[in-house]
Amino acid sequence: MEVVLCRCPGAQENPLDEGRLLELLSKNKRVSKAVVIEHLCSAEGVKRLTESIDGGKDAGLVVAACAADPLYRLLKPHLETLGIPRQAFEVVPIRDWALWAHPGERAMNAANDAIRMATARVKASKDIGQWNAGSAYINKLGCDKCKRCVEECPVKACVLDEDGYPIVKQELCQRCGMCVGSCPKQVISLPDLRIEEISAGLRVLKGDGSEEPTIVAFCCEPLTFPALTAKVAQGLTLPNNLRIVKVSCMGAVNMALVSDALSSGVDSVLFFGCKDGPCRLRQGDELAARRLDNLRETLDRMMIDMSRVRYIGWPEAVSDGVAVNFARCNGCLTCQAVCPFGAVEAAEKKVAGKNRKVAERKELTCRSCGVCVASCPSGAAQPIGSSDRQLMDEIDAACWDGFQPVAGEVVVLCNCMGALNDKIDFSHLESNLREEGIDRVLLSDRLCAPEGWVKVREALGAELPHTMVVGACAEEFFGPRMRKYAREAGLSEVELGFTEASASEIFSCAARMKRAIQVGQESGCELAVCLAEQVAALKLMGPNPFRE
Amino acid sequence: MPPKVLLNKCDGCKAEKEPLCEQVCPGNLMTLGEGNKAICRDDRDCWDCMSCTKACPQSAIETRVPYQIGYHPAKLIPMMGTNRITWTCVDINGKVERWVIKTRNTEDEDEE
Repeated sequence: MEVVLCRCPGAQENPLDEGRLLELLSKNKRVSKAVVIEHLCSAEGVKRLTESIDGGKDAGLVVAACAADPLYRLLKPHLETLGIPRQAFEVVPIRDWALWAHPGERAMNAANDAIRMATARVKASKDIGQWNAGSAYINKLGCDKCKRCVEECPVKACVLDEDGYPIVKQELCQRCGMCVGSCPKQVISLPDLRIEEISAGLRVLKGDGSEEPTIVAFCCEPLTFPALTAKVAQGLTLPNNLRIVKVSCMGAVNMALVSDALSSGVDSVLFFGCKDGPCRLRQGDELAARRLDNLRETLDRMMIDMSRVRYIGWPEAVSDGVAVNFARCNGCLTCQAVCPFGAVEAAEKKVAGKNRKVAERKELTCRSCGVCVASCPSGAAQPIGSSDRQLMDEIDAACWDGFQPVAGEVVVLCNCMGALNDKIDFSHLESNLREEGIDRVLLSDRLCAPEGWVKVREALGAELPHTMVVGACAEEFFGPRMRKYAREAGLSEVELGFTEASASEIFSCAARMKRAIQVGQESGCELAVCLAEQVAALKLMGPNPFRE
Repeated sequence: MPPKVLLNKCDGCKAEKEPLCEQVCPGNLMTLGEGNKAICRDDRDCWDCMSCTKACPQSAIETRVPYQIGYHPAKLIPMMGTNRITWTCVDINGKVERWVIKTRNTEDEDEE
């Protein structure tokens, strides 16, 4: 298969020694060709990729780049032209998992490991029909009819046919993966979650030969994977030989994977999942906790230290939800009738000296779906982070009508090294913004590099604004790094809002930032402490007994 | 020696008609007993094949190593992986030995 390393155009220095990485990749027997292609997130980059890839019998593609998910979505439509089957394609977020999480000398090893795991997964990939099924797929040949998948499916999409074998009702299947984790014979798979593939990826981990313990961390897609990525972007460095595996939910991790990892010499397996938070996708955390307890008991009997395998709960910032204005609430409890999650309770609150019956939200149950907000006859319920007033302001602003900037509003525009100059008339945009009352409009030619932000900081002078609207491109690709460079340039106290560079978008963004109701602080997880403790404990335990 | 069912771990395979240990036992010795937990019907007929131990999804069955081979505290425990079983043997002196046995005939792709 081919491995493609992406590089930012016009990068002043190579953050990662590409030559050395290509050399390491040449030793990988699974890789037929490893190349560097610039700027994969642009049309020219995709064209260069199409020209470089020759599909064929063992076609497979691993791309190592910055933002994995947006790049995956961008490249997916081209897979057919490239001759790559859907399951043989992966994007590895090298920037986050190597450069940022393991700075310095360790980045090279981390990058090579991450790519090796991906190549092993792609090599083990096979389309056994799951993609056509589009939902969970059960291989009847290996099934024992133990019915655990039926029991643990949260939406009852898994039912029994006349012979007692489970079948998946495609229209109900949510692709959450609980069944994948439950099957003791490992015969259930989702299109993008196959136990054999993940196992192949885990088995190639060898560590760097140092005393640092090898740790595999399973992260869940809705919560801990993006949260960990965000923390890494903010500066968290991970222990030396910690490797991340993304899964849909902790409940989707089959215990056979833990067993494979341990028997291949991995020192520790960690589960980063939710804990008492509103996510709890299909109660995957409970399922995982139960299975882990079981496994740990077995490990104990096997004279393997139980704390090699741990569930680490990520305390979520419970800041979403619905805020209720008790003065307006008339206690009709329409919200309770419509709430699909049962998150409303009647309560007595003292309002203006009198006890009144009002509707309260249960923080941990509320999923911020907004149905109660839409149904509230008195307008007492407002979603946190997006009020009706704010939405109206945004609509007004988008129509350029009645937008009232707060004094000190600052807008930063990026022209992408001049590339956007023939697409956007920046001077016209700037004069429009100033007419509407934005007093400071800064122009930068490269916000995706640290120098751009240093210059912005200098231009802002002594008076830092509270908020700043950044009109640039592709927030999903460049957002994390723009935030990181802004923070490093000394703008960590300024709140940034990202949008496309057009006047109406800029005003909408500014309006949105103004009206958002701030609730509480972000509850940080003492993840760094937790990881450091685990590494220390592992060093005391000694290396995995299977490595001897 | 008969398999010992750890009652706190056994869930009776959700009290199916045939729990996995019953399905796999070649001597038809495992079945659901009191409280819907697995039990070995006849101790003396068990020939220690350990199929039930390997099949149990909860790892709730422990086989006692026959006394001719090892005395009471000795243990032999399998841990099931996707394409391998990891065996741990603890003898009466507490000495631990481990083996990883591949259970699939695929070519060894783990070497680079």
